[in-house]
Amino acid sequence: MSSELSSLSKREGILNQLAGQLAAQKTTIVSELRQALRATGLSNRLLISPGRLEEIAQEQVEAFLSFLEAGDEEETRQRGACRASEGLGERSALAMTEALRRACWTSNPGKEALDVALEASGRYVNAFLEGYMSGRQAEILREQERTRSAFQRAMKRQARS
Amino acid sequence: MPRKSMTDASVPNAGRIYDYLLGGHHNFEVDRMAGDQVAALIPFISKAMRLSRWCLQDVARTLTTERGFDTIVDFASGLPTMDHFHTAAAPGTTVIYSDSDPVTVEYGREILGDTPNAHYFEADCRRPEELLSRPEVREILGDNRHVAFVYWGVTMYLTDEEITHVARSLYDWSDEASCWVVYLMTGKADHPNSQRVLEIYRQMGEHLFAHPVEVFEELVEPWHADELGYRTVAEWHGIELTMTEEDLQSFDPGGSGYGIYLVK
Repeated sequence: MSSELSSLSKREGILNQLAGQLAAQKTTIVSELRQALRATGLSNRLLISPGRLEEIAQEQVEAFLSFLEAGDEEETRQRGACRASEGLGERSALAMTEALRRACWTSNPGKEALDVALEASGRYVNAFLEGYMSGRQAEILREQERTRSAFQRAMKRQARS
Repeated sequence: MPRKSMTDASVPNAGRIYDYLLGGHHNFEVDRMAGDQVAALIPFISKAMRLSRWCLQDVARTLTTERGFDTIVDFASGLPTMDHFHTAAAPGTTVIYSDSDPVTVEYGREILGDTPNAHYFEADCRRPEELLSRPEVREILGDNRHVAFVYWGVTMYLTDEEITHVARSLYDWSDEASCWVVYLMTGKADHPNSQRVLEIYRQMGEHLFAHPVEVFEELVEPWHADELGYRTVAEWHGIELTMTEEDLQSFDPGGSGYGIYLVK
């Protein structure tokens, strides 16, 4: 029990340290994320316009750093769902998560820390994409239902007139 | 602003193809097949549509927070999804959406729900005077003639004569400081691929018209562009567009479309 606790707190320590390291390189990571988003920018729709990519890159890096410290998967899932409903394209979602994962690789945390970092970034990516996919699914179903309902009402109106 | 009603789901519809090319889900297999045909001929079209659509939020903010308009009358609105005017306009702005298609109107009303000061009416953008003289619209606007009209991505559905009529109607109806915001789609209509796309639309009963800038300028007189002039979508977003040789066969550099604030 105590060895489990000790390994847990060691892991937390490593993640906090990694978050600190990545925070020090935040400008570079934001820039890489922005580049990834720009390269795939035309796959987005609705609210994810070219003018918002900088802001999204900033927010995502902040969120990732928070995740490394707090490990809140539910918050990450919600963020993924929210990005989906805002119109983030699949290619952008994948490019963004890939850029974050790469940031962990390139931060040179050392062998032991790298394992922890990759495991954490994997959990982050999974949670984000899970939320993103369920957000997309919910959006499709919502639009499908709206289409059905709009058709029905328009037909009724046409039949009356 | 297609002429064919969206209630007929057995044939492709220009409005639903537009939705498909934008990445929406308000479309059917028959529309997706036609949309894929169009995209195969003009791969840049989907990007061009997204680039123009992304301007809407900026138009809403500029009109209401920088230019002081508290009323926007939008013609051929399509679906007022979360990127449309009512979500970005300053609080208290009255937004009147309109479309000629009954399904779009129903859909639009459902999306808007109880959104304050947002309305949706069935109307043909070729005859704006009909919307403006509707009793419900007159009740909303009262004596207010200081409005911003919007025709975003509609001009390709209108003939020269229709554009002239619209320009004159809006001009006569509104006050001196009113504004008319237009997205003018241009493109290279004489390219064989563009011709084939026009043919696809013709087969659906839709006729598309390319209006070169210099022609359009004359058609909308006495309206004229403000100091910002005719801005390409790339200029509008402040981005550099990467277009392939293939893209440039059907589209002009900058995306083949211009956003314009027309003033009196």
